[in-house]
Amino acid sequence: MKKRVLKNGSDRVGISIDLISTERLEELGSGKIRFIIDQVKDGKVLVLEKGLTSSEELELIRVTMTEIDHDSFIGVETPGFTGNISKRTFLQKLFGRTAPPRMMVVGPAHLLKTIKKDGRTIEAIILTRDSALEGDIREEDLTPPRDQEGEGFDGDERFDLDEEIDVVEEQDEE
Amino acid sequence: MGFFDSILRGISRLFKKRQASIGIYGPPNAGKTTLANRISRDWTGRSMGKTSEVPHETRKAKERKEVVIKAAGNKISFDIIDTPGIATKIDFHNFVEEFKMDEEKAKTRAKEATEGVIEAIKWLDKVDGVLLVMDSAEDPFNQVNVTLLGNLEARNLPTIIVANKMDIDDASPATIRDAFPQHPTIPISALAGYGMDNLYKAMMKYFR
Repeated sequence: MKKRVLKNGSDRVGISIDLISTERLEELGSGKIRFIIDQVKDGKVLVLEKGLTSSEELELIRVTMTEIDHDSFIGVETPGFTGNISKRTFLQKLFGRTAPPRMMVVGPAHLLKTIKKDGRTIEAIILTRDSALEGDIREEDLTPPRDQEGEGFDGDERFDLDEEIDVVEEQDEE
Repeated sequence: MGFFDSILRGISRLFKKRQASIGIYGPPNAGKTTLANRISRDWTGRSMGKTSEVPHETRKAKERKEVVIKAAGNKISFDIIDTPGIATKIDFHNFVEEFKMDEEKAKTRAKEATEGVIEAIKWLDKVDGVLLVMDSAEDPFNQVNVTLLGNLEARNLPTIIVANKMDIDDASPATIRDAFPQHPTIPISALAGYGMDNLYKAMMKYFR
């Protein structure tokens, strides 16, 4: 997550949501999955204009499993429309391909929670400190048990959300 | 994967170089091992693995060879592979907080679970058909189900959706059937044994 210094001078914390265009994803080519994992591990929520294919999604799951270290990254949440797999064209059936994927959201599993998903609607929430205080979500769920110093994790220390946040300076030039 | 793989797979089946391997797939706690045990016990008299309410109990794929199933006037020998549950996230804290597991054990379990997911994905290259197990009381549109089905279709792998846990009051196999109408859906309770005859008949029809 990024801590942004806004133009009015106030420090605000928040979750970075990046909208990734189809062109950007295609530019990444075979580095697409690596890019997504790196961004998500950095605490970002990505909205992909064009979702991943089912084979790319499976690769995302596979790579995610190799990256989980239980101290800083517990996985991904990937609500999305991956094409209507119940309505395939003749050619798609012939060549064994599912319908083209549509929009998809990918985020760190400790921050993004899918509430409801059907073929047409996705309801997801980005967990914040406020949502934890409202009661349904435990505040500790918002903070991965990351060791800031990278020197191991004793299991009891969960670092504070505010301290977790990277700083991106967006100072007013005036 | 696609048209040509389908042809190659068909040629392979034609020459019967080996008997069909059927993978049991699905998200954690859908009842995969309960189903594997049910099938194995019904036809070999032996179980395949331990079950638990704690997710990721199966963390290594288990194979039972030459399970001879008789149904609908046919007899086919299958190799049955019970695969670890596929998930997009694994947090050892869940084992500690929800199931009161010792922290070190929880971390080990989580680590093994990640390896299990990778192993399950690798097995997709080896199986000839899939029993995709879904919990009938849960929303079928979870990303694991959708991703798996997309991959199974891309590989032209014959797939039967097993709508498990029909013994639960909230079970709704119709929801699964409506979500994925392009695949046969068989309602069962692997725990109670309900619907197994229909599943065996479907295996004869789609995996022969």
